[in-house]
Amino acid sequence: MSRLWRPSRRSLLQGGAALSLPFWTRRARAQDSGAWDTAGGVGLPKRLIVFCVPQGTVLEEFVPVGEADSFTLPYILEPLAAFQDRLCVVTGVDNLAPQLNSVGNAHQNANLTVLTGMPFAEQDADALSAGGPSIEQVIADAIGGQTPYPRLDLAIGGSETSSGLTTLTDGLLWHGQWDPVTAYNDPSTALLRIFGDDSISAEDAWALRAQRASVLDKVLRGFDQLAPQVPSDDRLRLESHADKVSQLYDRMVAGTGACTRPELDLSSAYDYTVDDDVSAPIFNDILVTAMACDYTRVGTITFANAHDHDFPWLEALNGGTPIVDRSVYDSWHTMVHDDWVPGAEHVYRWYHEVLEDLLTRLANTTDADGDNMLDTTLVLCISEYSSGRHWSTALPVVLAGNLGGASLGRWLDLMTVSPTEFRDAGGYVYTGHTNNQLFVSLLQAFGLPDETFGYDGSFALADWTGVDVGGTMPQGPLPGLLDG
Amino acid sequence: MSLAHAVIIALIASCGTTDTTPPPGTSDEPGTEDSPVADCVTDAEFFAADAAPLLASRCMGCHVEGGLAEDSANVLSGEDDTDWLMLAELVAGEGGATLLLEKPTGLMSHGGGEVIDLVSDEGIVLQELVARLEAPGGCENPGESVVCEGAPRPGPTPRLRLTDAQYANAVSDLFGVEVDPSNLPETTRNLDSRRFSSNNPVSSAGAENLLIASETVTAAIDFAELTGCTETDEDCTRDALLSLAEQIWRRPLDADEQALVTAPLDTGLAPFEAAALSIQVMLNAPQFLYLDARPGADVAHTDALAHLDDHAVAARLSFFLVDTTPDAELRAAAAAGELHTREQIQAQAERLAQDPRALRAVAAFHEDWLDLSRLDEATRDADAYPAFDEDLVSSMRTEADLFVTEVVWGGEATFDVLMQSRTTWVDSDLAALYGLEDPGEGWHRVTLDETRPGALTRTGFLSAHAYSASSAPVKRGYFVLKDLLCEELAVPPDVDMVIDEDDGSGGTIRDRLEAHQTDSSCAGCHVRIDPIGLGFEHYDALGSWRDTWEDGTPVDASGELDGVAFEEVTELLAHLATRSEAQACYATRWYEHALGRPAELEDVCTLDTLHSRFEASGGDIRALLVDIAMSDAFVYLEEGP
Repeated sequence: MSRLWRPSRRSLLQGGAALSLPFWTRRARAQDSGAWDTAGGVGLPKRLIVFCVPQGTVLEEFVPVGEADSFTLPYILEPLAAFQDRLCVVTGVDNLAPQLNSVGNAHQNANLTVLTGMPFAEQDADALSAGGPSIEQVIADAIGGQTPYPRLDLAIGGSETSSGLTTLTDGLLWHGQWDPVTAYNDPSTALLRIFGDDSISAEDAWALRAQRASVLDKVLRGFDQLAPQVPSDDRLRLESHADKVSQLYDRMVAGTGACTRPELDLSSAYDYTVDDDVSAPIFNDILVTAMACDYTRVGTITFANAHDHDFPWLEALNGGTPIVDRSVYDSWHTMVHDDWVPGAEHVYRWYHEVLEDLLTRLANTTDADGDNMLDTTLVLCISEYSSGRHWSTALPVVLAGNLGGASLGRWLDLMTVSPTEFRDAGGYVYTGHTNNQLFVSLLQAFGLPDETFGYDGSFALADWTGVDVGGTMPQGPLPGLLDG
Repeated sequence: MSLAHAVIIALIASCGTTDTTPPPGTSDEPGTEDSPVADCVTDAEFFAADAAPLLASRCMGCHVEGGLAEDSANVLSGEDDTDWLMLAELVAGEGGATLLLEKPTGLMSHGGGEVIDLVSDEGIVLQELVARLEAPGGCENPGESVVCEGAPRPGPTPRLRLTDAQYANAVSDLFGVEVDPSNLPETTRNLDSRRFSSNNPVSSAGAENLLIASETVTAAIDFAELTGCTETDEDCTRDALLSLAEQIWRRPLDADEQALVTAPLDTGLAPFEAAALSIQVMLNAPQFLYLDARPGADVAHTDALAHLDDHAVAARLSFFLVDTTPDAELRAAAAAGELHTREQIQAQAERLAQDPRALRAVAAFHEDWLDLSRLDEATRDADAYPAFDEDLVSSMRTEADLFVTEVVWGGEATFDVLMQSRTTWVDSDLAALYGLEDPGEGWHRVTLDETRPGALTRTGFLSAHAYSASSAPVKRGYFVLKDLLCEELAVPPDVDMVIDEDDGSGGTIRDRLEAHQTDSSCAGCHVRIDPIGLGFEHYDALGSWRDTWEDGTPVDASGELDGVAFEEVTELLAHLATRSEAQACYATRWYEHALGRPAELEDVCTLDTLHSRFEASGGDIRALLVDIAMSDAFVYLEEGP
């Protein structure tokens, strides 16, 4: 008799729970996988860094020239030349998940799917959520659990409305359904939270942590007392919240300290909401230092000023004129949306200069085990688009560091057409290879046994999108990536 | 008896649409079901007589081969047998019945928007069609339909997490301590400015912020002054903590909870040190951060429905109407078990709706509805708009708050006044934008000329819906359709969303928007959006009046809504002020705001009644708030088996 009623959000949440791997399942999985024991073994990376370039790229200046193991890096990738033998450029990976959605704008469709490989949790424009956890969360579940920060998220730029934190609008990073990741975007806040308050004595710092742990322990008991009294949909939300409190408790108990903190020497004119050129190396430093201290094994670097930004430090490269001609373009976004407007390539190149800075810091740092950090870290650099024109096909990908022991100094080219032909086709050229496969390869690079990631065609999607990919979404690892 | 049994009965019925309708679903006991009325029309007869004409007139504009929706699962042929089979297959699929109901009624995003009102004769036909498709068999299996009589149907009742403003207000009321909301975890917004506290997750760093905020609070509390206890009196401190916990958690505590909040006293800490930790525990606990929604133990209810517990009603009323924790009078009423009859709830709701603290709740709703948060991220081209800076944005937000609170508190408090009032408040900077003489320091109440009717011609709304160097007719037109008329406009996922507002090619914005009309994938929506938005073209990116566009061409602000042309936006706004869909939409947005969730299919009858009463009251906003507080979804709870 209830057939006239839509499945409620509650039942969707319940159904979705199995897809989004609630935290208790994830933890069990981490214990079972044995990944922790093998991490640090020969060939396997200990750490993951996901570095997200926003608003696509200019493929003509991104796609290498030459052969798979003998190629030159064009203008945008040129800053990485010193690391060419430590990286693998991947071209021709498609994100098909947006096609499974029937709502949302182009940015929401790309951002919420590029790292999750799944359509939205629900096809409701008023309540958008990623369909499940993004790749770095799944890896954090396997390798991050025993560090103070199961994952550490840093955003360059963004607003200052929330005390040094930013939730990326239409975010890329998701703990799971309905659970977007928040990043530190104020370096001062990040330092204070990650490395502790250096204005108080070590003894006071320990006392404060003990006090906080004691409070949080009782707060968690409060969650335990309330949870049985609420319906299952609310319980999921409470459990998600409790999970965050639990992580905070673990961090207070584990403590962070006795590790050299990065020194900040910032001018009074520095504004972290806009001075991305100053913020970027600082956040790289914070992340690499936190990893060297083993405060975290999974980190992300994102750029929150993705939509409207001026990049004044790049004007010199641009003939002394602003990158974004404000008499023509309302924003950086409208500029890149207009296909390849000269000047855009400088911005995309700059993102890879920041990546080069990150790789350099990793290469110059030794971790507590005495291992070189670049040798033991897998770095994924990816954008949600291949072009400012909102194309989710042929995504630009660079992998660096440790690819599970697979050989590097390679270019894995899966594109079937040239960048120009691709552009002429309006981005509608599919390679049959997906980000889902790429992420399966990353899981396998960490020694995990997974053969699927994200949407694998094994569960029913509502069929109203008119797109039939059930069973046809490519499965398994990306051919030639780990076995190349 | 399941909820569905209780509320879904025979084929025909309609929601009351007159002003004599009682407030929605406020009976003390749920009603009982009536006997189904048998219907002796076969499926084929029904389809030919009722369904086919509906499909032809409402669906086959797009859902045909060669039509805009030819790629969807629903492509109609006009042949009854073929279409019946196609639709039956669609309905048999996962979620198919829901789709067929929700897409055309705009409850789910639909490229064509809302084409059928679920609570209308056509909506009834649609529901019968779906019911028959699901259970074919004609007379033996008459379909069922939504009716708006009988038992309440509350829909989902998610535990709402306090917004950052509500947290700050509550802490201020409880302890006299001010917390900067920017130190709290961000209260997330959903798409298109609709902020639902039911979908408001706490991130890892957000949990840390809450912890630090609670430490700031306890550091500022003078516990001796707050409780009258002395520093060494453990028993007094214990009693005070238990009493405080009932206020902070808004209800009596059970034994386990009492043990939890007094636990710090048993750790050897000095009583006041322990009290500080105890209050931190209370402020970080879900019992404080989430609104309770438990059933009342002593109130009559059915297997499927319960009235909310009195304390839960008190909290919901308080956070909805005054944006803070219940005051002493509400707590006393809840404690006395006097918050579950219709009269009791009405009395408290009316009291709170008149409370000055309601001003901030009203301001918060309108900031959300008018999407003024866009101003936070606004930038302006310095050459075109040198007057723009953070102070100006702050002034715009202040003006918006003063404007709406004056509308709701200063006079008639009607939707018409909200849309038509020419009164506003300006400081020196805003006076310049309005072309007024400098009024000097401070804020001044002024009456603007006839080009400035209502909230949509104020600087805040106009600036929030503009680009850096130009106005944004698409954003303004989209607002009118989406948030003033509640039309669901689906964005095709793979369609380029950006039209270049100024691509340097010359011509006016009107010329450039022509591109929308020539691309069929754009035209479906933009043929409606653009002519509305262009009506606002006399207001520039800061809301100032202009007679010419940037290139010197005289502004042409004529436009069209639903085939009715207008010369100036003032005509459009006058029309919208009295248009029943606009009033209904405004009421719906308030309803969703109050419940902290989007309206669902279960809400259509409640909304229909709310809409009727709102219209009949002449758009009385305060009466609307009281009606919402008395609605089914606000006070009833659906209980699972």
